[in-house]
Amino acid sequence: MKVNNNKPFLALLLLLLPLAVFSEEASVVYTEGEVDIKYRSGERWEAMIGDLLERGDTVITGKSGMAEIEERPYNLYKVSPDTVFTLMEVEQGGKKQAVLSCTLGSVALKFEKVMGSEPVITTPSMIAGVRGTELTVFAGLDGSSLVIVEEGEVEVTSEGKAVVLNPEEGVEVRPGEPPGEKFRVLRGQIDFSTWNSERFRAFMDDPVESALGVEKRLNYYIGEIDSLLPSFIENKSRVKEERKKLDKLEKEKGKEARAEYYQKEIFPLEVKTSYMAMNIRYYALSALSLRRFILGRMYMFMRSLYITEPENEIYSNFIDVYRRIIDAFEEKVVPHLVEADI
Amino acid sequence: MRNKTRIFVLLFVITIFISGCDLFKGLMGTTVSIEERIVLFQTELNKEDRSEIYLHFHPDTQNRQQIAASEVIETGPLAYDYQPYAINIVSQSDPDSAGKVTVSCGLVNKNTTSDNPYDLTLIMQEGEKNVWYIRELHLTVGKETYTIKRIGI
Repeated sequence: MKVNNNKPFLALLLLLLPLAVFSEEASVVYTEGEVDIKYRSGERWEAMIGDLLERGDTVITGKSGMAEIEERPYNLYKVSPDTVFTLMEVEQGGKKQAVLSCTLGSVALKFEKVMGSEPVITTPSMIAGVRGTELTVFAGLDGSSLVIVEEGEVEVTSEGKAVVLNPEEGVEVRPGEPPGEKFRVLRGQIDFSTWNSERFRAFMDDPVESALGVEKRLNYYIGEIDSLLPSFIENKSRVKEERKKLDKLEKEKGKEARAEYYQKEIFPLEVKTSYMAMNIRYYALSALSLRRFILGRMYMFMRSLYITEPENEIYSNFIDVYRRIIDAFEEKVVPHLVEADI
Repeated sequence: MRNKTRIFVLLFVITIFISGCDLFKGLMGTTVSIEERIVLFQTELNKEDRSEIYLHFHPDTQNRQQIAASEVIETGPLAYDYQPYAINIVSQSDPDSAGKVTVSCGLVNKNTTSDNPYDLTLIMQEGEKNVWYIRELHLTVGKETYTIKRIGI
Protein backbone atom coordinates (compact mmCIF):
# COMPACT_ATOMS: atom_id res chain seq x y z
CA MET A 1 0.00 0.00 0.00
CA LYS A 2 1.31 3.39 -0.91
CA VAL A 3 1.51 5.83 2.00
CA ASN A 4 0.82 9.47 1.28
CA ASN A 5 3.73 11.22 3.01
CA ASN A 6 2.30 14.64 2.24
CA LYS A 7 -0.64 14.21 4.61
CA PRO A 8 1.10 15.33 7.82
CA PHE A 9 2.60 18.26 5.96
CA LEU A 10 -0.77 19.29 4.51
CA ALA A 11 -2.42 18.97 7.91
CA LEU A 12 0.26 21.19 9.43
CA LEU A 13 -0.17 23.68 6.59
CA LEU A 14 -3.93 23.78 7.14
CA LEU A 15 -3.36 24.37 10.84
CA LEU A 16 -0.89 27.16 10.21
CA LEU A 17 -2.78 28.81 7.36
CA PRO A 18 -5.30 30.67 9.54
CA LEU A 19 -2.42 32.02 11.61
CA ALA A 20 -0.88 33.53 8.50
CA VAL A 21 -4.12 34.83 7.02
CA PHE A 22 -5.47 36.42 10.16
CA SER A 23 -2.21 37.64 11.62
CA GLU A 24 -2.67 41.10 13.11
CA GLU A 25 1.00 42.03 13.16
CA ALA A 26 3.75 42.54 10.67
CA SER A 27 5.71 39.33 10.56
CA VAL A 28 8.78 37.92 8.93
CA VAL A 29 7.65 35.42 6.30
CA TYR A 30 10.97 34.71 4.60
CA THR A 31 14.64 35.18 5.37
CA GLU A 32 17.82 34.31 3.56
CA GLY A 33 21.39 34.96 4.70
CA GLU A 34 22.15 37.46 7.41
CA VAL A 35 18.98 39.17 8.66
CA ASP A 36 18.62 40.79 12.09
CA ILE A 37 15.78 42.54 13.86
CA LYS A 38 16.61 45.46 16.11
CA TYR A 39 13.69 45.80 18.48
CA ARG A 40 12.67 49.09 20.01
CA SER A 41 13.91 47.77 23.31
CA GLY A 42 17.39 48.06 21.84
CA GLU A 43 17.85 44.31 21.63
CA ARG A 44 19.10 42.87 18.35
CA TRP A 45 18.33 39.29 17.35
CA GLU A 46 18.73 37.15 14.28
CA ALA A 47 15.42 37.21 12.37
CA MET A 48 13.49 33.98 12.12
CA ILE A 49 10.48 33.20 9.97
CA GLY A 50 7.38 33.94 12.04
CA ASP A 51 8.98 36.72 14.12
CA LEU A 52 6.48 39.47 14.85
CA LEU A 53 7.37 43.10 14.22
CA GLU A 54 5.82 46.22 15.63
CA ARG A 55 6.18 49.92 14.96
CA GLY A 56 9.67 50.95 15.93
CA ASP A 57 11.30 47.64 15.03
CA THR A 58 14.03 47.63 12.37
CA VAL A 59 14.99 44.90 9.90
CA ILE A 60 18.70 44.96 9.03
CA THR A 61 20.02 42.75 6.22
CA GLY A 62 23.66 41.91 5.63
CA LYS A 63 25.48 41.74 2.29
CA SER A 64 23.90 38.42 1.39
CA GLY A 65 20.75 38.78 3.46
CA MET A 66 17.20 39.34 2.34
CA ALA A 67 13.83 39.20 4.04
CA GLU A 68 10.14 39.42 3.31
CA ILE A 69 7.80 41.11 5.76
CA GLU A 70 4.05 40.69 5.60
CA GLU A 71 1.78 43.23 7.23
CA ARG A 72 -1.99 43.31 7.42
CA PRO A 73 -3.92 43.53 5.19
CA TYR A 74 -1.48 41.32 3.28
CA ASN A 75 1.01 44.05 2.40
CA LEU A 76 4.36 42.63 1.42
CA TYR A 77 7.77 44.28 1.83
CA LYS A 78 10.81 42.65 0.20
CA VAL A 79 13.95 43.83 1.95
CA SER A 80 17.10 43.57 -0.21
CA PRO A 81 20.67 42.93 0.97
CA ASP A 82 22.49 45.68 2.89
CA THR A 83 19.29 47.40 3.91
CA VAL A 84 18.00 49.12 7.04
CA PHE A 85 14.19 49.16 7.08
CA THR A 86 12.06 50.41 10.00
CA LEU A 87 8.33 50.20 10.70
CA MET A 88 7.34 53.46 12.35
CA GLU A 89 4.29 55.42 13.38
CA VAL A 90 3.63 59.12 13.74
CA GLU A 91 0.63 61.07 14.97
CA GLN A 92 -1.02 63.34 12.44
CA GLY A 93 -4.18 65.29 13.07
CA GLY A 94 -5.08 63.13 16.04
CA LYS A 95 -4.64 59.88 14.10
CA LYS A 96 -1.72 57.53 13.92
CA GLN A 97 -0.01 57.31 10.55
CA ALA A 98 2.06 54.30 9.51
CA VAL A 99 5.54 55.22 8.31
CA LEU A 100 7.85 52.80 6.50
CA SER A 101 11.41 54.05 6.66
CA CYS A 102 14.18 52.79 4.38
CA THR A 103 17.33 54.40 5.73
CA LEU A 104 19.74 52.44 3.59
CA GLY A 105 19.44 49.83 0.84
CA SER A 106 16.33 48.84 -1.04
CA VAL A 107 12.79 47.71 -0.28
CA ALA A 108 10.12 46.64 -2.77
CA LEU A 109 6.68 47.38 -1.35
CA LYS A 110 3.45 45.81 -2.50
CA PHE A 111 0.19 47.04 -1.01
CA GLU A 112 -2.65 44.66 -1.71
CA LYS A 113 -5.14 47.31 -0.76
CA VAL A 114 -4.38 50.84 0.31
CA MET A 115 -6.44 51.57 3.41
CA GLY A 116 -8.13 54.84 4.39
CA SER A 117 -5.02 55.87 6.28
CA GLU A 118 -2.33 55.61 3.63
CA PRO A 119 1.19 54.69 4.69
CA VAL A 120 4.05 57.08 4.19
CA ILE A 121 7.46 55.91 3.02
CA THR A 122 10.56 57.81 4.05
CA THR A 123 14.26 57.69 3.24
CA PRO A 124 16.96 60.07 4.47
CA SER A 125 16.17 62.39 1.56
CA MET A 126 12.44 62.19 0.80
CA ILE A 127 8.90 61.33 1.87
CA ALA A 128 6.57 59.36 -0.41
CA GLY A 129 2.81 59.25 0.02
CA VAL A 130 1.43 56.00 -1.33
CA ARG A 131 -1.67 56.05 -3.44
CA GLY A 132 -0.39 53.15 -5.46
CA THR A 133 0.08 49.55 -4.79
CA GLU A 134 3.54 48.53 -5.95
CA LEU A 135 6.78 50.45 -5.75
CA THR A 136 10.46 50.07 -4.94
CA VAL A 137 12.45 52.45 -2.78
CA PHE A 138 16.23 52.64 -2.87
CA ALA A 139 18.27 54.53 -0.27
CA GLY A 140 21.88 55.07 -1.32
CA LEU A 141 25.10 55.21 0.66
CA ASP A 142 25.24 58.98 0.26
CA GLY A 143 21.67 59.53 1.51
CA SER A 144 20.18 59.78 -2.01
CA SER A 145 16.93 58.02 -2.82
CA LEU A 146 15.38 56.47 -5.87
CA VAL A 147 11.68 55.68 -6.11
CA ILE A 148 10.31 53.47 -8.88
CA VAL A 149 6.54 52.93 -9.26
CA GLU A 150 5.24 49.77 -10.86
CA GLU A 151 1.53 50.14 -10.16
CA GLY A 152 -0.64 52.98 -8.84
CA GLU A 153 0.51 56.49 -7.97
CA VAL A 154 3.10 57.82 -5.54
CA GLU A 155 3.77 61.40 -4.51
CA VAL A 156 7.41 62.00 -3.66
CA THR A 157 8.14 65.09 -1.56
CA SER A 158 11.41 66.69 -0.57
CA GLU A 159 12.34 70.22 0.45
CA GLY A 160 8.76 71.36 0.01
CA LYS A 161 8.44 70.20 -3.61
CA ALA A 162 6.43 67.23 -4.84
CA VAL A 163 6.56 64.98 -7.89
CA VAL A 164 3.73 62.56 -8.72
CA LEU A 165 4.89 59.28 -10.19
CA ASN A 166 2.72 57.00 -12.30
CA PRO A 167 3.41 53.37 -13.26
CA GLU A 168 6.84 52.78 -14.80
CA GLU A 169 8.10 56.16 -13.68
CA GLY A 170 10.91 56.92 -11.27
CA VAL A 171 12.62 59.85 -9.62
CA GLU A 172 15.91 60.39 -7.82
CA VAL A 173 16.17 62.63 -4.77
CA ARG A 174 19.55 63.85 -3.53
CA PRO A 175 19.84 64.62 0.19
CA GLY A 176 18.77 68.15 0.97
CA GLU A 177 17.44 68.76 -2.57
CA PRO A 178 13.96 68.70 -4.14
CA PRO A 179 13.07 65.66 -6.31
CA GLY A 180 14.84 65.58 -9.69
CA GLU A 181 13.16 65.17 -13.06
CA LYS A 182 11.04 62.06 -13.24
CA PHE A 183 12.04 59.46 -15.80
CA ARG A 184 10.55 56.44 -17.56
CA VAL A 185 11.66 53.06 -16.33
CA LEU A 186 10.81 49.54 -17.41
CA ARG A 187 10.37 46.67 -14.99
CA GLY A 188 13.71 45.27 -13.85
CA GLN A 189 15.64 47.94 -15.72
CA ILE A 190 17.14 49.55 -12.62
CA ASP A 191 19.85 47.59 -10.87
CA PHE A 192 20.12 48.86 -7.31
CA SER A 193 23.75 47.78 -6.88
CA THR A 194 24.77 49.71 -10.01
CA TRP A 195 22.82 52.78 -8.88
CA ASN A 196 24.29 52.52 -5.39
CA SER A 197 27.82 52.20 -6.81
CA GLU A 198 27.15 55.33 -8.87
CA ARG A 199 25.94 57.14 -5.76
CA PHE A 200 29.03 55.97 -3.90
CA ARG A 201 31.23 57.29 -6.72
CA ALA A 202 29.34 60.59 -6.58
CA PHE A 203 29.99 60.70 -2.83
CA MET A 204 33.69 60.05 -3.35
CA ASP A 205 33.82 62.73 -6.07
CA ASP A 206 32.38 65.33 -3.70
CA PRO A 207 32.14 64.08 -0.12
CA VAL A 208 31.60 67.57 1.26
CA GLU A 209 28.50 68.09 -0.91
CA SER A 210 27.08 64.73 0.29
CA ALA A 211 27.78 65.62 3.92
CA LEU A 212 26.06 68.98 3.40
CA GLY A 213 23.00 67.10 2.08
CA VAL A 214 22.96 64.98 5.25
CA GLU A 215 23.32 68.12 7.33
CA LYS A 216 20.32 69.66 5.57
CA ARG A 217 18.22 66.55 6.31
CA LEU A 218 19.33 66.49 9.94
CA ASN A 219 18.43 70.15 10.22
CA TYR A 220 14.97 69.27 8.93
CA TYR A 221 14.52 66.72 11.76
CA ILE A 222 15.92 69.18 14.29
CA GLY A 223 13.59 71.85 12.90
CA GLU A 224 10.61 69.55 13.45
CA ILE A 225 11.75 68.78 17.01
CA ASP A 226 12.31 72.49 17.66
CA SER A 227 8.87 73.37 16.31
CA LEU A 228 7.17 70.76 18.54
CA LEU A 229 9.19 71.38 21.66
CA PRO A 230 7.78 74.77 22.75
CA SER A 231 4.17 73.49 22.41
CA PHE A 232 5.11 70.32 24.25
CA ILE A 233 6.72 72.24 27.11
CA GLU A 234 3.75 74.64 27.22
CA ASN A 235 1.26 71.75 27.20
CA LYS A 236 3.16 69.96 29.93
CA SER A 237 2.98 73.07 32.06
CA ARG A 238 -0.74 73.52 31.25
CA VAL A 239 -1.43 69.91 32.26
CA LYS A 240 0.23 70.63 35.61
CA GLU A 241 -1.78 73.82 36.13
CA GLU A 242 -5.09 72.28 35.08
CA ARG A 243 -4.60 69.34 37.44
CA LYS A 244 -4.26 71.78 40.35
CA LYS A 245 -7.74 73.14 39.59
CA LEU A 246 -9.43 69.76 39.99
CA ASP A 247 -9.30 69.48 43.80
CA LYS A 248 -10.54 73.04 44.20
CA LEU A 249 -13.39 72.42 41.80
CA GLU A 250 -14.43 69.25 43.64
CA LYS A 251 -14.42 71.05 46.96
CA GLU A 252 -16.55 73.90 45.62
CA LYS A 253 -18.88 72.17 43.17
CA GLY A 254 -18.65 68.47 43.91
CA LYS A 255 -17.41 65.26 42.31
CA GLU A 256 -19.60 65.49 39.20
CA ALA A 257 -18.16 68.91 38.33
CA ARG A 258 -14.66 67.54 38.71
CA ALA A 259 -15.39 64.54 36.44
CA GLU A 260 -16.94 66.78 33.81
CA TYR A 261 -14.08 69.30 33.84
CA TYR A 262 -11.50 66.54 33.62
CA GLN A 263 -13.25 64.86 30.70
CA LYS A 264 -13.80 68.08 28.74
CA GLU A 265 -10.63 70.06 29.48
CA ILE A 266 -7.83 67.96 30.86
CA PHE A 267 -8.03 64.50 29.29
CA PRO A 268 -7.82 65.79 25.67
CA LEU A 269 -4.86 67.95 26.72
CA GLU A 270 -3.09 64.97 28.29
CA VAL A 271 -3.64 62.83 25.18
CA LYS A 272 -2.35 65.65 22.94
CA THR A 273 0.72 66.15 25.12
CA SER A 274 1.66 62.48 25.11
CA TYR A 275 1.25 62.30 21.32
CA MET A 276 3.54 65.32 21.00
CA ALA A 277 6.13 63.39 22.95
CA MET A 278 5.67 60.52 20.46
CA ASN A 279 6.32 62.82 17.51
CA ILE A 280 9.41 64.31 19.08
CA ARG A 281 10.68 60.78 19.52
CA TYR A 282 9.88 60.01 15.86
CA TYR A 283 12.10 62.81 14.58
CA ALA A 284 14.83 62.06 17.11
CA LEU A 285 14.94 58.42 16.01
CA SER A 286 14.97 59.40 12.33
CA ALA A 287 17.93 61.67 13.06
CA LEU A 288 19.63 58.82 14.90
CA SER A 289 19.27 56.54 11.84
CA LEU A 290 20.69 59.25 9.58
CA ARG A 291 23.64 59.78 11.88
CA ARG A 292 24.28 56.09 12.44
CA PHE A 293 23.74 54.56 9.01
CA ILE A 294 24.53 57.36 6.56
CA LEU A 295 26.88 59.81 8.23
CA GLY A 296 28.65 57.06 10.20
CA ARG A 297 29.44 55.16 6.99
CA MET A 298 30.56 58.30 5.19
CA TYR A 299 32.91 59.05 8.06
CA MET A 300 34.37 55.53 8.06
CA PHE A 301 35.00 55.65 4.29
CA MET A 302 36.66 59.04 4.52
CA ARG A 303 38.75 58.11 7.52
CA SER A 304 40.06 54.95 5.84
CA LEU A 305 40.70 56.76 2.57
CA TYR A 306 42.62 59.66 4.09
CA ILE A 307 44.27 57.82 6.97
CA THR A 308 47.72 58.69 5.66
CA GLU A 309 46.91 62.29 4.71
CA PRO A 310 44.70 63.81 7.43
CA GLU A 311 45.71 67.31 6.31
CA ASN A 312 44.11 66.81 2.90
CA GLU A 313 41.80 69.73 2.10
CA ILE A 314 38.85 67.57 1.00
CA TYR A 315 39.12 65.49 4.17
CA SER A 316 39.42 68.59 6.37
CA ASN A 317 36.38 70.18 4.76
CA PHE A 318 34.41 66.95 5.17
CA ILE A 319 35.45 66.72 8.83
CA ASP A 320 34.34 70.32 9.42
CA VAL A 321 30.84 69.51 8.17
CA TYR A 322 30.87 66.18 10.02
CA ARG A 323 31.73 67.89 13.31
CA ARG A 324 29.06 70.49 12.78
CA ILE A 325 26.48 67.72 12.24
CA ILE A 326 27.66 65.81 15.31
CA ASP A 327 27.53 68.96 17.46
CA ALA A 328 23.96 69.72 16.33
CA PHE A 329 22.99 66.07 16.88
CA GLU A 330 24.42 66.05 20.40
CA GLU A 331 22.78 69.32 21.33
CA LYS A 332 19.34 68.92 19.76
CA VAL A 333 18.68 65.20 19.29
CA VAL A 334 20.46 63.31 22.06
CA PRO A 335 18.31 64.85 24.85
CA HIS A 336 15.32 63.07 23.28
CA LEU A 337 16.98 59.67 23.05
CA VAL A 338 17.20 57.05 25.73
CA GLU A 339 19.95 54.59 26.47
CA ALA A 340 18.18 51.74 24.67
CA ASP A 341 18.11 53.71 21.41
CA ILE A 342 21.87 54.02 21.43
CA MET B 1 12.52 -0.54 50.09
CA ARG B 2 16.00 0.42 48.84
CA ASN B 3 14.62 0.76 45.31
CA LYS B 4 11.87 3.06 46.54
CA THR B 5 14.44 5.26 48.28
CA ARG B 6 16.54 5.41 45.10
CA ILE B 7 13.50 6.42 43.03
CA PHE B 8 12.60 9.07 45.59
CA VAL B 9 16.16 10.49 45.56
CA LEU B 10 16.22 10.43 41.75
CA LEU B 11 12.89 12.27 41.55
CA PHE B 12 14.13 14.79 44.10
CA VAL B 13 17.31 15.46 42.05
CA ILE B 14 15.27 15.82 38.82
CA THR B 15 12.90 18.27 40.54
CA ILE B 16 15.82 20.35 41.80
CA PHE B 17 17.36 20.31 38.30
CA ILE B 18 14.15 21.36 36.58
CA SER B 19 13.33 24.11 39.04
CA GLY B 20 16.82 25.57 38.59
CA CYS B 21 16.62 25.52 34.80
CA ASP B 22 15.41 28.64 32.95
CA LEU B 23 13.76 26.48 30.31
CA PHE B 24 11.24 25.30 32.86
CA LYS B 25 10.85 28.64 34.56
CA GLY B 26 7.26 28.90 33.33
CA LEU B 27 6.49 25.39 34.57
CA MET B 28 8.08 25.58 37.98
CA GLY B 29 8.76 29.27 38.58
CA THR B 30 6.56 32.34 38.83
CA THR B 31 3.37 32.41 36.87
CA VAL B 32 1.25 35.50 36.42
CA SER B 33 -2.29 35.06 35.17
CA ILE B 34 -4.19 37.80 33.34
CA GLU B 35 -6.16 38.65 36.47
CA GLU B 36 -3.02 38.72 38.62
CA ARG B 37 -1.25 41.01 36.16
CA ILE B 38 -4.13 43.45 36.20
CA VAL B 39 -4.15 43.50 40.01
CA LEU B 40 -0.37 44.06 40.04
CA PHE B 41 -0.75 46.87 37.50
CA GLN B 42 -3.46 48.48 39.62
CA THR B 43 -1.20 48.25 42.70
CA GLU B 44 1.58 49.92 40.72
CA LEU B 45 -0.71 52.75 39.61
CA ASN B 46 -1.40 53.48 43.26
CA LYS B 47 2.27 53.80 44.22
CA GLU B 48 3.90 57.20 44.31
CA ASP B 49 7.09 55.70 42.92
CA ARG B 50 5.98 54.98 39.38
CA SER B 51 9.32 53.73 38.10
CA GLU B 52 8.17 50.11 37.93
CA ILE B 53 4.95 50.50 35.93
CA TYR B 54 6.88 49.49 32.85
CA LEU B 55 7.43 45.99 34.27
CA HIS B 56 3.79 45.16 33.61
CA PHE B 57 4.10 45.68 29.86
CA HIS B 58 5.16 42.94 27.46
CA PRO B 59 8.96 42.53 27.50
CA ASP B 60 9.35 41.79 23.78
CA THR B 61 7.19 44.51 22.35
CA GLN B 62 7.46 47.39 24.73
CA ASN B 63 10.49 49.46 25.41
CA ARG B 64 10.07 48.99 29.12
CA GLN B 65 12.96 51.14 30.23
CA GLN B 66 11.63 53.90 28.03
CA ILE B 67 8.19 53.70 29.62
CA ALA B 68 9.82 53.98 33.01
CA ALA B 69 11.59 57.15 32.00
CA SER B 70 9.03 58.55 29.64
CA GLU B 71 7.20 61.81 30.06
CA VAL B 72 4.24 60.19 28.36
CA ILE B 73 3.23 58.42 31.57
CA GLU B 74 3.93 61.48 33.71
CA THR B 75 1.91 63.88 31.57
CA GLY B 76 -0.76 61.34 30.61
CA PRO B 77 -4.01 60.33 32.29
CA LEU B 78 -2.42 57.62 34.47
CA ALA B 79 -0.71 60.19 36.68
CA TYR B 80 -0.23 59.60 40.40
CA ASP B 81 -2.34 62.72 41.02
CA TYR B 82 -5.41 60.67 40.14
CA GLN B 83 -4.95 57.77 42.60
CA PRO B 84 -6.54 55.72 44.08
CA TYR B 85 -7.01 53.60 40.97
CA ALA B 86 -9.31 50.58 40.88
CA ILE B 87 -9.61 48.28 37.86
CA ASN B 88 -12.55 45.90 37.54
CA ILE B 89 -12.66 43.24 34.85
CA VAL B 90 -15.95 43.29 32.94
CA SER B 91 -15.33 40.70 30.24
CA GLN B 92 -12.54 38.73 28.65
CA SER B 93 -12.20 37.35 25.09
CA ASP B 94 -10.79 34.00 24.04
CA PRO B 95 -7.18 34.13 22.80
CA ASP B 96 -6.89 35.15 19.13
CA SER B 97 -4.56 33.50 16.60
CA ALA B 98 -1.62 35.48 17.98
CA GLY B 99 -2.45 34.41 21.55
CA LYS B 100 -3.77 37.82 22.54
CA VAL B 101 -6.65 38.21 24.96
CA THR B 102 -8.77 41.35 25.03
CA VAL B 103 -9.89 42.30 28.52
CA SER B 104 -12.58 44.96 28.92
CA CYS B 105 -12.39 46.72 32.26
CA GLY B 106 -13.79 49.63 34.18
CA LEU B 107 -11.25 52.04 35.65
CA VAL B 108 -12.12 54.21 38.61
CA ASN B 109 -9.86 56.97 39.90
CA LYS B 110 -10.12 60.35 41.56
CA ASN B 111 -11.81 61.82 38.48
CA THR B 112 -14.58 59.25 38.21
CA THR B 113 -17.41 57.94 40.27
CA SER B 114 -17.69 54.20 40.91
CA ASP B 115 -21.02 54.06 39.09
CA ASN B 116 -19.50 55.74 36.04
CA PRO B 117 -16.04 54.21 35.45
CA TYR B 118 -13.87 54.84 32.37
CA ASP B 119 -13.64 52.13 29.71
CA LEU B 120 -10.24 50.49 29.87
CA THR B 121 -9.30 47.85 27.29
CA LEU B 122 -6.18 45.83 27.93
CA ILE B 123 -4.75 43.55 25.24
CA MET B 124 -2.86 40.86 27.11
CA GLN B 125 -0.27 38.42 25.83
CA GLU B 126 2.05 35.84 27.36
CA GLY B 127 5.72 36.76 27.61
CA GLU B 128 7.25 33.67 29.14
CA LYS B 129 5.09 30.57 29.50
CA ASN B 130 2.14 31.33 31.80
CA VAL B 131 3.36 34.86 32.48
CA TRP B 132 0.91 37.38 31.06
CA TYR B 133 1.70 41.01 30.29
CA ILE B 134 -0.14 44.08 29.02
CA ARG B 135 0.56 44.51 25.33
CA GLU B 136 -1.76 47.42 24.61
CA LEU B 137 -3.73 49.78 26.83
CA HIS B 138 -6.70 51.83 25.60
CA LEU B 139 -8.36 54.24 28.03
CA THR B 140 -11.53 55.96 26.82
CA VAL B 141 -12.78 59.08 28.55
CA GLY B 142 -15.80 60.63 26.89
CA LYS B 143 -15.29 60.40 23.15
CA GLU B 144 -11.50 60.29 23.20
CA THR B 145 -9.17 57.33 23.72
CA TYR B 146 -5.68 57.32 25.16
CA THR B 147 -3.53 54.50 23.87
CA ILE B 148 -0.29 53.01 25.10
CA LYS B 149 0.85 50.55 22.46
CA ARG B 150 4.34 51.84 22.55
CA ILE B 151 5.81 54.84 24.13
CA GLY B 152 7.30 56.89 21.36
CA ILE B 153 6.72 55.72 17.81
